Amino acid sequence: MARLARLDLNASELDGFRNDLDAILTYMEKLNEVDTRGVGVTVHTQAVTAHLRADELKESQPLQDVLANAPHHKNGSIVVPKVLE
Amino acid sequence: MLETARRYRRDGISPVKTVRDLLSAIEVEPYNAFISYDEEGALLVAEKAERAIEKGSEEPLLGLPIAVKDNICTKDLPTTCASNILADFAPTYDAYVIERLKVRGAVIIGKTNLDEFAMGSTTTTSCKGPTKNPWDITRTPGGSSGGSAAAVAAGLCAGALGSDTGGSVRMPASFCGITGLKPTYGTVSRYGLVAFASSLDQIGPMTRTARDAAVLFDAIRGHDPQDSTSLVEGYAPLSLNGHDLTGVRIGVPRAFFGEGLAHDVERSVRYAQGVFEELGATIVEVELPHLAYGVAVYYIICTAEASSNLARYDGVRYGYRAGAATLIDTYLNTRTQGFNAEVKRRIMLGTYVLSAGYYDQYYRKASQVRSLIVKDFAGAFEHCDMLLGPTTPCTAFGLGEMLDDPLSLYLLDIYTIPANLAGLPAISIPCGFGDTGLPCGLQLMAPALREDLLLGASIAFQDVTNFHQVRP
Repeated sequence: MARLARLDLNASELDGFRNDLDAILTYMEKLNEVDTRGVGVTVHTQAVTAHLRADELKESQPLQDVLANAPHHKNGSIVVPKVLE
Repeated sequence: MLETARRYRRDGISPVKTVRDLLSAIEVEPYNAFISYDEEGALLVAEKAERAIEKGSEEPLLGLPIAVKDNICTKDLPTTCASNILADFAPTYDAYVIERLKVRGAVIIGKTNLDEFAMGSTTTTSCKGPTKNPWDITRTPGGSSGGSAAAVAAGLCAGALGSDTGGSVRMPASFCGITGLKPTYGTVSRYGLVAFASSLDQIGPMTRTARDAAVLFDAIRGHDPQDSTSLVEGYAPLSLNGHDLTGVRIGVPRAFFGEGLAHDVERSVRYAQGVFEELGATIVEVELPHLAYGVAVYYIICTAEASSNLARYDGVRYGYRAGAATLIDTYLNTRTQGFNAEVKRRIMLGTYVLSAGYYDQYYRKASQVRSLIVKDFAGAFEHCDMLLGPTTPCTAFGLGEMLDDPLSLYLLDIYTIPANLAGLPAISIPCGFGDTGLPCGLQLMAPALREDLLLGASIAFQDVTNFHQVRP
């Protein structure tokens, strides 16, 4: 699970989280008391649908400004370790 | 805020001097309420405001020093979310709410401390160290907007912005004896608010009085095409007069006064209930049958959304990057070193409840019970205009307490979570003091878009009480 979340936890962290998550998930089991047969899901509290904007060409943020936050960049691109050998 | 605006005009107090004095106070403040501030920028805006006021401008926000939670983007100024992973991050744009404040001439006096990525109820999970409660520096200010709450309570700003996903504006407002409003989902744009749980997050005002909250809320709400969940509404300006409560029905959910509520908090809330009755309101008992499931629903939904939202912190485009030979190890090392324990715990929980084998059992089930909670409110509002109850089960506790017990901390959100799950507006106002002299908070909730009712009732309450005027 940690690997899936892209976290590298050591043994003592894993133990601690296991205990915490056990307690929390056990608490969450109280939802099983609720009869939800035929109940729809709520993923959003708004009755309206998302507003779409017109598909217009607009200026984006200046590349140099955006790159200023990148940990490593070169020639206008962000640099990361090699993905393919 | 209104008091500061009056002093600028009636007493000829200088905005520049006010801002300079506050910046000096912030530099040495003992609460660790602030993470950063921009002296030069703040003074520049204050000077402009001073000139405009001299020319007779009546714009109420001109020159008012506003503190901003450090998960709200400010152009070219650090926005850290109190996380090492964003330690050196300076956004290239202002959040919508910051644009709104700047247009009105307000001064961004500084960025305030929070639980890392707003995940917590104590402001102790911050990588910048805990914020202390101005009423008693051995205690927590609550969280996650604890820095903003402490700054307002200590008089280090005229007002502040916080964000509220499960109570993060109202809970610290309650612990610090101030007013905090969680608006209807969609009334305040989330553009530039660093995402925690996108279906729950809202930015809200934190102020000394309900009138100030109305002024600040008026300034930051409005439709923003940059947030696809921003409601298309034309808002009428809010009245600063107290709402006439004659004949207004206030519902008191029995479940809000059950096991776990400290007797001193209950006493204060019941006193406030009596004040509302004297003001002409009718108290009716209502039921919220699924309230007891709110915490379980919330911590499934918010961690699920958080695990997805925080996937963007991979060390590639911005923020901290840990060195590694491969891209996958870059992700792993960056996130492992960049996040602290509570954020990791929630990412793990969210990853678990969304994983293929458990999705139906947790996430789907929670989303169904969320529907029942939404229905509970609709049912309750057939019998009343507003709901009343405590904001928190207890007053502020010691800084180190409960830190090793995440579940107990989660349960502190029991009264605040339902408004987020249902997208409803809710406000916390001071309603008395507990056995140890610490502030108690009263929560009012209303149907969607009825902030006018919440603020009007709060103003009426504050016109006949003085809890909001007592200072630490």
